[in-house]
Amino acid sequence: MLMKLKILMSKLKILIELFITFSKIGAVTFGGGYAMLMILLREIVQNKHWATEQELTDYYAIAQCTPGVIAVNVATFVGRKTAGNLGGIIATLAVVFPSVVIISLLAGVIKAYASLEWVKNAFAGVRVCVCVLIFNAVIKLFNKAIIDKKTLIIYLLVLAGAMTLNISPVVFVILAGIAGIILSVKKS
Amino acid sequence: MILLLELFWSFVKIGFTSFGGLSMIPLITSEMLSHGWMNAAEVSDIVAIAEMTPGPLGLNCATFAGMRAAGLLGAFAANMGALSPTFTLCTLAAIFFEHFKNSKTLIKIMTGVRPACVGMVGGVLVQLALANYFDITQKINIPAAILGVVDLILLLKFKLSIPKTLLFSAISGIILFGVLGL
Repeated sequence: MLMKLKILMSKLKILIELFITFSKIGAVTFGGGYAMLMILLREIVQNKHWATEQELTDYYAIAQCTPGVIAVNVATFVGRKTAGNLGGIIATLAVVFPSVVIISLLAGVIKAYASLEWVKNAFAGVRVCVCVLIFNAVIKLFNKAIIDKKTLIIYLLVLAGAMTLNISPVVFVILAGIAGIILSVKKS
Repeated sequence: MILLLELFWSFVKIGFTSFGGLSMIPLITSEMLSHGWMNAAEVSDIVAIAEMTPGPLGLNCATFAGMRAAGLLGAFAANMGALSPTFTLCTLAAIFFEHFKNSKTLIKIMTGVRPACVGMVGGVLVQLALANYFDITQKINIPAAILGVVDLILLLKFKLSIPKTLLFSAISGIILFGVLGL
């Protein structure tokens, strides 16, 4: 009985931790899901050890291929891995929670602020920082994902493609997956 | 009640046919206008508000549109609709991925997919950097570049937390672009 209670309490503790962590992530995610990558790396990989860099990249890739909001899809993956089905649902709702509260409270007044000069300047500053966050995330993930010449070539081709062509990410992911199989066959 | 169901269903459709972020905007626009939930001017506010509030852009749009159409319950219905692909397709993908995690084929596939994923984020970075570090005449915006370097040092060298770095950048933005008029 006591054992069961202990297990239940530790499960509850993980769920609460998931909710708090992903609420924090949701609250500081400005500029869309890409900025979130760096925040996830710090909170999920470095602080909480809920996933490795590789796993996070994998989740991100799959999240880009499934419809819906990418950042939330990543939350579902991490939540499921940490605490099963319920963990997935809790993490997903937690990411959304802060913005729903903020928008519900501020929807009426925020429009008036949007045109103010100092608010625009503040967000110009935030956007500069978002670029730095994404840059950091790219460097961190680069070291883990680009492990040889072949993966470097895939990276460069997709980078060039993403900058010049207007193709859905799904196409890149599928092509890269096929390339992964073909290149590994050649090796052996 | 019917209004809430309609909102939910609209965002289920939007969720399943988009891949988040800005790709949702045209779909939201047409759904909002065709149901008469918002007028064209209100719809154009969506992006401005979604960008100024934290959280995933697509869900901020859902919250704002739902609020306007049917208050707090509307926001909830719209969010649940927008999250429906996450709770169905993405969860299925997660189960599938967990199940085949150790399969040799999946490992090979992911070895190819990981660099592609980093490449795509790199592509987005280049676009965003061009928009935020250069002005219309393609000249580098020096104050923005300096702020970027300072942010980088704060994050890496001084291990400043991300929320604090964002706050620092917002204040620097007000000072650099506003007070000093650079």
